[in-house]
Amino acid sequence: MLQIKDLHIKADDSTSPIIKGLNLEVRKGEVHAIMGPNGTGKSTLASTLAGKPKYSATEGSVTFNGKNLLELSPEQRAREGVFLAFQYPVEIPGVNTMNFLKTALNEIREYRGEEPLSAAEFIKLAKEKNELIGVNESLMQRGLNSGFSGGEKKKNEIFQMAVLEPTLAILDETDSGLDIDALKVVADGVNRLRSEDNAIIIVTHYQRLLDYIKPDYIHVMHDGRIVKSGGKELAIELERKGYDWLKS
Amino acid sequence: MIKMIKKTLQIPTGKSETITLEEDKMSLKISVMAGASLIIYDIQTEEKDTSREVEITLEGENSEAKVYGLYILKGRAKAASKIQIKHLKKNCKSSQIYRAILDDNSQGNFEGNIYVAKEAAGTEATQETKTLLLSEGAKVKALPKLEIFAEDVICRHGVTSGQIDEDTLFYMRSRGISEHKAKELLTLSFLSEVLDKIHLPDTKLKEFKKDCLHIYS
Repeated sequence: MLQIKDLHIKADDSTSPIIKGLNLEVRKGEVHAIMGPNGTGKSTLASTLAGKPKYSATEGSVTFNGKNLLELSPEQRAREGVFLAFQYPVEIPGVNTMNFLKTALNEIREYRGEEPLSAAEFIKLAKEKNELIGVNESLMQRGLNSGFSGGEKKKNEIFQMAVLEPTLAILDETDSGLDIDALKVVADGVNRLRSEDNAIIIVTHYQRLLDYIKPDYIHVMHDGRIVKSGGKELAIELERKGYDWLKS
Repeated sequence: MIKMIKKTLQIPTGKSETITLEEDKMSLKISVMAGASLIIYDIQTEEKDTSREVEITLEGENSEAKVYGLYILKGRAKAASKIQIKHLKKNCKSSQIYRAILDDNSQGNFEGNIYVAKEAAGTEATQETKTLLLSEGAKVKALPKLEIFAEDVICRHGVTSGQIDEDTLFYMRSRGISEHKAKELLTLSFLSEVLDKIHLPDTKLKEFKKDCLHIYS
């Protein structure tokens, strides 16, 4: 589904690269965790995959279902099935959550040649999806993320994921700033959305989230590269030894 | 040269009136008597030069004035709007809420004045101007001015000017919404605080919304 080859990325306000030759392959049905200390390029990778204009690839390639992902606009990537759960979801007062999400879903459906959902159909779908996540319904009538707590914003990201049904979901530090109850809700939601047809990349600093969402593969990033990959057992080793032993 | 149209009006005791400013160059003086209320819509969505000046005097107790401004400026449009509201008596309320979007090389000059006389205790007054600049060539000057001589007064004022936030735009696009549509939604949301307050026939309101969004077509 996703092949990243020798990827180098820099930010437009800097000359030095952040990602320096990264390789990763993700297949259908897999869950990958990308771990590592702050400042190693994890979030840059997540944002680049979603098409954040600030980052550009100077070398290497990213192929998603046979397409050159780096050539696509952020909205085209979303319509192709890429979804990024943001580390810091933005607040958009004045753009109602439900209206926002209906617009998004219908643009994606139109791209795929499907009929747009009517308001009633969308509300029904949103209610069904929200049974998994349990975002407070009164919040959905408000401006997007406007005045939401940190936990509510993260839940709202997963709710959006449930509605948009991406084939590749990238969760960027979704566990940061969550208390244990909210973490369980979010993890539970993600687990239920996990299927044979989609893939998930979890970017996280901590082992904690991986207690609830079990990845198939774990990768450790250091200085813009993946320096170690392994199965579930790697998380336990990291928990015990920290990251320092991988830096040299 | 278009002649400046000058008018003087009075809203009699207990009456209420809604006025939509239509002339391009105009100066209007309105007295609002006790218990009367006035709503003014100051709307400009075409590519032309306008200069509007309104002086509202709240002459009777418990009178009220609300001014809603909506400006969509494109091309070389130049707009000047000067609103002055004078609170002369007790317990009067006023608000001036402006939203302006400026594109291309347009220029906007928004002046909002509040004057509260010594006798006007219990005054509540708001002055708020928010502008959104869509191009580097667009210029805006927003000037709030408060002169307060009374005690027991609530006055709020605020002026902000900004651009469409890149992070917000990326967030919306990352959900599959086109850049064009995202900008439309953000623009309507920026204007919503004023649009929601404008009570005009639906068709007229739709026309305004269409004008607002023309900026992206």
